[in-house]
Amino acid sequence: MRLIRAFEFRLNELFLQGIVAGTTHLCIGQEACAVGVCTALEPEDVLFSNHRGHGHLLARGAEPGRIMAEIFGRPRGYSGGRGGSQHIAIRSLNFMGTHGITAGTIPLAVGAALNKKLQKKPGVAMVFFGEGATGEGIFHESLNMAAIWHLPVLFVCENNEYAMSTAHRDVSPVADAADRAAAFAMTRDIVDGNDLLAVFNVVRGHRERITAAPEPVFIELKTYRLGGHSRGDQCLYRSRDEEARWQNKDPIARLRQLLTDQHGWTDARDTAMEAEIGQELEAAEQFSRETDE
Amino acid sequence: MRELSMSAAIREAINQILREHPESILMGEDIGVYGGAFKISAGIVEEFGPDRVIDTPISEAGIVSIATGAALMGSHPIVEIMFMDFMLLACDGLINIAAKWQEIYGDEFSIPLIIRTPAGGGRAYGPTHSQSFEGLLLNVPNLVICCPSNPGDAAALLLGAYDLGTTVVFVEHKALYARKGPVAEPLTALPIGSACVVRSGSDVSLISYGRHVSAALRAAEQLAAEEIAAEVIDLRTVKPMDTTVVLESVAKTGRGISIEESPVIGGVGSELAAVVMEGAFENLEAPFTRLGAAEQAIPCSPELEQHCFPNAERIVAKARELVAY
Repeated sequence: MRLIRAFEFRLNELFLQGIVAGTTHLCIGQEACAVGVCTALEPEDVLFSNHRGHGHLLARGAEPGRIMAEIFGRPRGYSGGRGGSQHIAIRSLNFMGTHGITAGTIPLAVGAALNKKLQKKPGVAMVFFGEGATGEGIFHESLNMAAIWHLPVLFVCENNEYAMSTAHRDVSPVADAADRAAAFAMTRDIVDGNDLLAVFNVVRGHRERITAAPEPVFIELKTYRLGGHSRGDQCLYRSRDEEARWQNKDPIARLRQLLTDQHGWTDARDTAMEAEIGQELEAAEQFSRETDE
Repeated sequence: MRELSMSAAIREAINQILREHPESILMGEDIGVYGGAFKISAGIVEEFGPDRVIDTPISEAGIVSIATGAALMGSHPIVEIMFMDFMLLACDGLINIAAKWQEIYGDEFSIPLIIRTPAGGGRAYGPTHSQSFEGLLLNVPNLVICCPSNPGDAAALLLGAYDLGTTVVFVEHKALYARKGPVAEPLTALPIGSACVVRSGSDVSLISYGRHVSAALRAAEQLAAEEIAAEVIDLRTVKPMDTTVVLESVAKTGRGISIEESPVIGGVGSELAAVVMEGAFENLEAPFTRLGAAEQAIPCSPELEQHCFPNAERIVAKARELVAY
C-alpha cells in the first residue's frame, strides 16, 4: 500500500513537472482495495482492471519500473509504450489488462470465467471497476450472463463516490452499487474498502466458496479517491470537509495504527520501509528514463 | 463437384471447425434448438451440446465482449449476430477491444474470434434489418472483413478465418443463403486477403464482393453482346483488400467500376477509388466510378427497395458510359 501511494505521488510530480505526457488516473486513498483484493487471489485467478489500475498492477506483483516505463512511453514498458497508463497487461501474472473504456473489461472477465468453465481450468475471474461503470449497459448485460451461466466471477466495485465529477447519489436511484446486482439474483457484499483486512477477508471467503460452487459475486468496496479524477482536476465538485472526513479514514494510517497497536510496528521500521520504497522508486524512475534499450 | 446452398456450405464449415478444434464454441441468439434466425446452425447443438453451442440473451454488446474475453483466455468463439444492423450495439467490444488488444498489449493477447453476421437487402426486411456495414468497419485498423459471394468461397473463407486466429467479421449476404454453387469435398481453407478474377476482360473492370458479384457477371454477359469485354473481380475479403489484383486489372482495362452493398460515401468503392488513384492513375482512360446503396434508409417495400441497390442494368449502363468516355 505504501509502495502504491508513493508510486502515485511520484507519478503526479512527474506529470506536474511536464516530464510525462498525456494523462493519468491515480488511486491515492484506494490502496486497501487493490492490496486486499489482489492478496486474496491466487496465481491461477485472472484479473481485469480499469483506467485507474496502477495500484491493481503493483498489488498483483508488477514491476514498478516497467509500469513507469510504459507511462513514460518507453519500449521497455509493459506495452512497449503503445498503451500508456491505461493499457497494461501482464500474461505471466494473469493480469489481463487495465483499459480506458469505462466498464469495458467487465464482460472480458465474464468471458474469462466462461473459458474457465468450458476448459475446466482452476480459479476465478475478477474485475475491478468503479461505481460509475454501473451506468453502462454492458455492465448489466455482463452481470446477467455471468448469473445465468453460473460463472465464477468476482465483480469488485470500488465505489469512490465520484465518477469524474459526478456524485453517485446524483445519477443512481440506489445508494449502494451492490443493489444493482439484486436484479440478477446475485450474492453481494458491501465492505469498508479502506479496511485492508476486511477487504481481504471478504474477497478470500467468496473466492473459496465460488471456487467450490461456481457463481458470480458482487463485492462493493466503499472508498474514496483522495486526489482528483485525473491530471488537472481541482475537485470543485466536492467539499473540503468531505475530503477531510475521508482523510481521517486513510487506509494506510489505519493499517499503521493497527500494526502499532497489535503487532509491535515501530517508527523505526516505518522509516526503514519508507527509505526502501524510495530506493525502489528511484530505481524504477531511472529504468524509465534510460534511453539505452 | 457437388453443389450446396451457401447455408449448407457454411454449416458444414462450422461443423468441421467444431469437430477439429475443441477450443471452438458458437455463441449467439437463438442459435441452439432454433438453429439461428437463418437456420445456419440447425442441428449443430444436437451434436455438440449446449456447452459449445451457447444460446444467449438479446445482448449483442455482451455477446461480443464476453466472447472476446473467452478468446483472450484460449477459447475460439464463432459468434452469430442475427442481423448486421445489430452489430452497432457491439461496436465497443469489437472496435475498442477485439481489434486492438493484441496490438496494444502484445502477441500473447491475441483475440481469435469470428463474428458471423447476415447482412444486406433484397428481402424487404426494411431499414433496421437490411443494412451492410462493411464500409463502416473498413475504417477500423486491424479488423479482417470477409464478404463471400458463393457457397464454395463462404465455406473456404470461414475455415481460413478460423486459421487466421485473429478477429474477423464474416459478412454473409442473406439473399445468397439459398443460392447453390460448387463446394469442394473435403473443404479446404482459403487464405484471407486474396481477391480473384472470376471473368477476364480487357475493356472495363467490375470490382465487387458478396451478392453483387453475380450481378457483375450478368452485366459482363450483356456487355459481351455489345463487344465490351468486362473483367469481373471478386474481392472476397474487403479488408485486407487485395490491391494487387485490383491494380493489375485496372492497369489492363483502364476503367473501373466498384459495385457494393453498403452506401458509397466512405465505403468500399471509395477505398477502391483511392487505391486506383494512387496506384493506376496513369492507366485510367475514364474516371473510376462507384455504384452502391443509395444515400437513404433502406425501404421496406420491395418496389422501393430495388431502387436502393445496384443491379446488372445499372452496371451495364455505367460501363457503356465509361467505354464511351
